[in-house]
Amino acid sequence: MTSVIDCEHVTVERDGRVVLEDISVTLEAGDFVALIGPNGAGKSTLLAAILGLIPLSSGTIRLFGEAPERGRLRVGYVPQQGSFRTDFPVRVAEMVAMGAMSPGWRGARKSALAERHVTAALERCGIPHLATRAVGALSGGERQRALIARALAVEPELLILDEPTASIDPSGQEALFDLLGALNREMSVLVVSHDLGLTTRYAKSVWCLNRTLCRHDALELDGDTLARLYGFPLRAIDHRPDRERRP
Amino acid sequence: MSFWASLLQQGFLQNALAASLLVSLACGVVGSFVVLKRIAFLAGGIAHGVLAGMGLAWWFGWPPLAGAVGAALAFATLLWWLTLDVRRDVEVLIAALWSVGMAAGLVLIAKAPGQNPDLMSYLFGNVLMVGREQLGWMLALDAAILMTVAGLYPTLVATAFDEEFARLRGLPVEAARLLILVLVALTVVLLIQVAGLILVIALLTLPAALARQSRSVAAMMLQASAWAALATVAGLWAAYRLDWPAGPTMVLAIGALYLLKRIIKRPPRAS
Repeated sequence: MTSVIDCEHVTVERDGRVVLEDISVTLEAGDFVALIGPNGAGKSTLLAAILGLIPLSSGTIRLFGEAPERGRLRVGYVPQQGSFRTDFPVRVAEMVAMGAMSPGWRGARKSALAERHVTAALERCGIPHLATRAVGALSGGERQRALIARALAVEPELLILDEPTASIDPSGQEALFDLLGALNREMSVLVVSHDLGLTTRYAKSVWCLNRTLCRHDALELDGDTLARLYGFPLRAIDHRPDRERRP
Repeated sequence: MSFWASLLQQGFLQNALAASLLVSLACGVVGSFVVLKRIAFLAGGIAHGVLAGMGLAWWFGWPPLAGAVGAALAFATLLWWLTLDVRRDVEVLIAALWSVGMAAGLVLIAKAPGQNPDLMSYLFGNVLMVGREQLGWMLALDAAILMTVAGLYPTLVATAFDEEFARLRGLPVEAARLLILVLVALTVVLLIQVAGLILVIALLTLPAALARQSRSVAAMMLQASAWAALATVAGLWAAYRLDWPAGPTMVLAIGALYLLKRIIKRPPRAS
């Protein structure tokens, strides 16, 4: 079976600086990967490379066994909150429908199927009541759910989220990861996160990135690994009640 | 004689009114994209660069409108191509095209063989001189602009709202950006007849800015068109009553409306 994401010896340079160095990693169908690393580690660059938005200096990336430009049509992408336009006159349902568009000029025609996808995506994210709300009038948590709904309207096989918990309060973050955990039963998930606690609780694998990348099972993530990654001592806290505490 | 009584009798006033309403539609529709995509400076560059085309047309004895359309399309395509690479110093490039295009136009017009054209009407418009034939051209341009936007509305809105997401969905992001610049170029040509190329930018931005708080882009376009119609007709009326030049009076009208709105209701802060 082909992997969902397959990076082979990927190196990316920007302005003469090596941002990603010789990264080889795969994401198999059904996985829930947390991509962690300090600021400036290249997390957003890796996402952009996987989505085919920036050129590689060397190496190859396959998405669903295809070139990223083709494979990305099967990806639901949730961008960082900062890139969101709050001053654009568009309502939530209209924005979510943008996820259901198919490629090309004619892809925007309204179809009954696309409308069903929109309705289903809004319900899945628990925000049918926000359908007619202007996107500029949403709170941080509502906005994040609307962006996830837009990604779900794609009917994706892989969901990629770039720091989805950045502007949400702790209880909202927990609810968001609950939603991602539920979605993971139907699709693979790759999420950039700073929150190590949530990460160890929900993710099945962890990609530790700091220019180079190490892949771990979520369970084996320990203090030494994190200290090497962030450059200072950190302890992973395993929240799972059914697991024994690490010493 | 009052403005309205003259309107019933004078053909030139009827033409001026029709021209004002025609440009108002294009202003509202295309101006909404200009404001939402924040390309007012780019639109200004296209407008001023158009003088080079009009100068060239005058030199060779072509119809000025053909020169204007050709130059507007050429500048729109050039600016689209130059701004493909975001690392380029876009602002300086626009400023260069803006001023060099205008300078070339001024030299061409000054040195053209034969009689010089009425430069003032190119720069500041003269809606009272719009004739039947010109009105027909404007109607055709207007129809082309409106039909294009109506036909491709969802794609144009989706790419304007979030370019990155649209690109991931396989939408024609760059083609849509070029198309919007072409629509801006055609609207600029329309507006030159009424407000002149220096004042174009007011009618291309302020009506849409007045309609900012709409519920959808389509509603914004409609409301912006209404504001533009109100300002141009009020400007025409005031210009007739006071014997002021029509184009600048219209711009003063839309400027006054915009100022009034800013004073009455402060724009909401971005959260």
